[in-house]
Amino acid sequence: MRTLLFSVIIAFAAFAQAEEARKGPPTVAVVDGEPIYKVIEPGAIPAIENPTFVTGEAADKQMKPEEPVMGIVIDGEAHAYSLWQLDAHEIVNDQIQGTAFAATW
Amino acid sequence: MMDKETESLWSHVLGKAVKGPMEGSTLEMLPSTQTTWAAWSKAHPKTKLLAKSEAVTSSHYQGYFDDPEKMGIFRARRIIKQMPGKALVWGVAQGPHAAALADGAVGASKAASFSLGEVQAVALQGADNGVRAFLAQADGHTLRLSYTETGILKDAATASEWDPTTGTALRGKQAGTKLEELPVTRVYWFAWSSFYPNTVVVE
Repeated sequence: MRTLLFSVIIAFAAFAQAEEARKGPPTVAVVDGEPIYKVIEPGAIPAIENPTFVTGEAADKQMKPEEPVMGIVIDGEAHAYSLWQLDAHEIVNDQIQGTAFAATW
Repeated sequence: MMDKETESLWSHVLGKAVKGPMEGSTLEMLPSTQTTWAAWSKAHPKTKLLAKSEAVTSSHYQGYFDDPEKMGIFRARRIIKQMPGKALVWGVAQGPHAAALADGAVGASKAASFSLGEVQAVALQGADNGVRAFLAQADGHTLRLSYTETGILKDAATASEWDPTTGTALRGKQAGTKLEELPVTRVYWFAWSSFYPNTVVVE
C-alpha cells in the first residue's frame, strides 16, 4: 500500500512537472498576438542608475583594445559603455548636458 | 524593459511602451553606434567611459554562437532565411520602412546608399569605425554620396567633401551642411526581421 501511494505521488509530481513545462513561464502581456513571458523578476538584471565615469589612462586601464563598446555623442560630449559590462546590467540611465537617456543593450 | 515610475513594459527595439500606464508612448531614439574601445577612444580622446566597479574582461555570451539555430530564449518563430539568424546587421527604421545593412555593405571607403520608402539614406563608417546612417538630403535635393579613389567622401552634384562620422560637409558648396542622422541599431538578423518583416536588406 505504501509503495503504491509512493508511486502515485511520484507519478503526480512528474505530471505536474510536465504540465509546468508545457505551460511555460507566465504570460504578462500579449502584444500583436504574441505572448510576452516573465522569465525573471524585475530588477534581477540591475540597471545602472547613477553612472560614474573615467577618462584617459584610467579608462584605458579598465578596457581591452578590442573590447566592444556602444558610443554616443551629444553636443560634443562622448560617452562609451563596455558591452561586456552591459551584459550584466543591460541598461544605463545616463544624461549628457541635461538630455536624459537610457543606453540599452 | 520596465520603468520604475509606472512599471510599464517597454520594447527596447521599438522604444515603445507595450503594456501598462505608458502603453502607446514612444521614446525618441538617439543616434549611437558600436565599435571597439581602441577605435572609439582614438577618435574621441576626451570620451567618458562608464566606470567598472569590478573587473570585467570577457563577454557573458561567448557561447552564444555555439548553436546557430537557437535564437532567443523561446526561439524565434518567424524567421526570414535571407541571412543566418545570428548574423549581426545595422538596422535603420523610419515609420513603417526598415533596412538592414549586412556587414560588408559599409566600409572605410564604401558608402551604402539605400531607400526607406520614398526617402534616400546613406550609411557610413566613421573615423571610430562605427556605422551611422543619414538622410541623403540637403536643401530639398537628394544627395548621392560616394568615395573617390583617394578615399574622400563626396556628393555627385556639388563634389563637396563630407565627414562620415558627423555627416557634415567640410569643404565645397555644401560646407557647413549637416545631414540628419538616423538612429542605427546593432541587432541580430532574426530579431530585426521579426520586428520588421518588410525590411530591405543591403548587402
